[in-house]
Amino acid sequence: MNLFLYFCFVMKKKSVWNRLSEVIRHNIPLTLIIGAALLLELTSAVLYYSAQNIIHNTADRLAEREMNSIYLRIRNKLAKVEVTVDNMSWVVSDGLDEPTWMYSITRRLVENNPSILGSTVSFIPNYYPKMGRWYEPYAVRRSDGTIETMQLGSATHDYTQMEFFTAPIVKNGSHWCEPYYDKDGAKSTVTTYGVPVHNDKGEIVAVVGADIALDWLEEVLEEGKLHKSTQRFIVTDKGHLLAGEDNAMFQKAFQLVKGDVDKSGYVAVEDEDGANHHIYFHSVSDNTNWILINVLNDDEVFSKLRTIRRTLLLPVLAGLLLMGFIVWRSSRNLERLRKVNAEKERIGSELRVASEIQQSMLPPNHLHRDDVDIFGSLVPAREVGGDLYDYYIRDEKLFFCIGDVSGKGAPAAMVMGVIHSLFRAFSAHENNPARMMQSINEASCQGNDSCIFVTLFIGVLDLPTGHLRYCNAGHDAPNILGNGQWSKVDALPHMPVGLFDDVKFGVQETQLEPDSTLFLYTDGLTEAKDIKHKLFGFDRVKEALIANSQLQPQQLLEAVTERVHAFVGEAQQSDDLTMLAIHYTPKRFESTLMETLLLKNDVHEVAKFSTFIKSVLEKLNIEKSLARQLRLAIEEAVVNVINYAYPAEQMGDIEVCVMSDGETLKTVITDSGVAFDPTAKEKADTSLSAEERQIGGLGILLVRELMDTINYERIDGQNILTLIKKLKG
Amino acid sequence: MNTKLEEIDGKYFATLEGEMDTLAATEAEQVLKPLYQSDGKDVIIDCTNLEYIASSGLRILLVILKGAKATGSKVIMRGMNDDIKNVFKLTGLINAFEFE
Repeated sequence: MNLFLYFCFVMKKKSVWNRLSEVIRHNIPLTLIIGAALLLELTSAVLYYSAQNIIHNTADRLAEREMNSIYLRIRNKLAKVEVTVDNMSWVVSDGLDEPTWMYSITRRLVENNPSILGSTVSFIPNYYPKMGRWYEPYAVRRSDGTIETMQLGSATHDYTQMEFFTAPIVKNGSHWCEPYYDKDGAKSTVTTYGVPVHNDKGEIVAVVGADIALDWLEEVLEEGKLHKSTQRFIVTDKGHLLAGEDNAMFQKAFQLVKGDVDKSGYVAVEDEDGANHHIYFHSVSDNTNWILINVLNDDEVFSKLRTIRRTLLLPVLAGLLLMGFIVWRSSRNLERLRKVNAEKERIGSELRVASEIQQSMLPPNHLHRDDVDIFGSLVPAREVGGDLYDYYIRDEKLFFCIGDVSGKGAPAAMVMGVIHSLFRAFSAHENNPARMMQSINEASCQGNDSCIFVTLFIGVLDLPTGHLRYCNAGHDAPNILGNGQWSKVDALPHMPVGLFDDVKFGVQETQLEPDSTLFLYTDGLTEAKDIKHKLFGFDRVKEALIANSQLQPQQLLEAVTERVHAFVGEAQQSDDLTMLAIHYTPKRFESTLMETLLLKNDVHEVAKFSTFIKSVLEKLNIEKSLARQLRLAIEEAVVNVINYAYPAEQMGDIEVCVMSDGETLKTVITDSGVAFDPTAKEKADTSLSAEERQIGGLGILLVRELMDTINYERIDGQNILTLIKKLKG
Repeated sequence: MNTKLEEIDGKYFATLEGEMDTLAATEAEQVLKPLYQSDGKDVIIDCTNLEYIASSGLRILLVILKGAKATGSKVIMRGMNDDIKNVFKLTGLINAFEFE
């Protein structure tokens, strides 16, 4: 009990509770087992103790019933004797005149009552003077069944001192005396029921008595024992054991019982071995001082219950072990599952991050200028994909590409990243798509053990002229929409990038008409599948484009996407879906002033140029600082052409045309020299120290810094260099 | 364009006046050639009246500077106007030279 209270107190303390709940949370399986075990124990304990109670009550009741039947039987027998002797006293009373009459009375008494061993009529001393002082007619049944009568009273057998005689006289009533050994009469242990006899004057003159043997008591005690270990005793309240074994238990029981006033009750006791006994006792009758004691051995009563409990212990334990084993195994699986799940989550989150990185690698999906409108869309099939598209404008040229890495998911995405970087790197100083493709191919073939290949289309659109250069490596050729007409770009497929490093790529050229739209896509569009694995197909793409040819790039892509989604329906997206639309809308340059100068490729012509440019800038009323910048930039460009356009020793013409539409100054320098692209050269590194600086490269640097845009195009054997600067803002 | 070069008290004094376009630079180079081997003498270049300079001119100055640095002498630009300073900034030469 104290332990329980202490436990409750401890539990009240929050820190203990917190720690406990933490332990529980970390050991769910163990806790489950312990919980189940506790529950099982609790249930079985409750069951056991209620069973015990029931058995106890039942045993009590049975014991009582047993006792009842026993002492009633004894009482009955005694009662019979009592009644007989009570009646006999009247007979003796009436026959007092005939002393010898007594013999036949006693004989008849014994004859007719098998339970009566002997019978006496004991007279008070000298009642019959001629009979002598002691007159005790006595009849007794011998062991052979014959009845013997005799006069028992004598000096050696002075019955007047015996209890059976004195007590009834003192009491003036009937009395069962303490058992005694009758050496003279019955020659066995007897107890005598005596009743006083009165004369007609009412004086007691004799005691009539009947002896009964006590051996039948033993038989009665033994009957109807439910439990073998039950012990029964009949004892007088003076401690004289009438029936039953005189053992330690008896001694103990009598000690406890004799003090009880009611002479009836129940007490629990422990014997010297520590076994529990239940003692029931009851007085036998009102006339005797006998007490019936019934001692029930607890162990025997509950022995069956205890056996059950013991036998159940083993299967219960086995069951717990089995359950423990199952829980342990499944908890291992749970651990494994948890680890797998954690791993999956980690991979999932890493893929999400990778997807974000990939999305950020793409150019903004929308670019809008007055000469070009671009919209791109890329929906990967998984978190990350192997499709790519890219575009950017450098030197008034639109560099764009679209590609498809073989495979899907993370491996393809990694290669996509590499190809994207290569495209950017090789287009930084190169305007020829074929040369870019060559470099990309060579770079991708290195270390490509897994034979991942990439279909790629690269295009360079010169925005001022609409001149489109392109190179295709195994990709679907772009479509062109113009004037409601649909056509396909005639593109040589060559071979996808990354397979063979000796593939020769060739550049192709075409002219993109104003107000036409280039539409590029990957095979995720043509090979989009519906549930029945039917493909969207090229014809449907063509249909979709023609039906929506008048739309701006964003709306066009949305319309096509809608059609694909409608077609695909419930089926899962099987491949990355990528589209890029470029709408070309060049603006004419409406010049308000245009001046042209023709030069020879001789540095001495610079004087001519200086005069020319100063006068033009003057005419345009350009502010002094800006004018100096413009002059410097244009001079550098012109000098560059003078120095490099024509081979050494060869004379050639250079045309410098300066025009303005009021807002923008546009200078076009044309020559017929060798193909020479000043924009392809790298700028000088201005971060180097004086010692490290290269002497060259300053010219083109200045042109780039001072001008808004610089554009080079080679058309019909001529180099055309265009410099543009906004005059306002 | 006018180019002058003098040596005074162990220092070179150069003056650049007018517009140094590419052609003028080739002529000016002839005058400034001695500065390519400045032999440890400081060079002061007066640009007060310099209106314009092309990359050829910058190149010349850079060669002078390289030579000077190699022999431990300084090159100081004097009185440069903002437009030309801007050109120096764009080409990164602003950090290479000293200005007064």
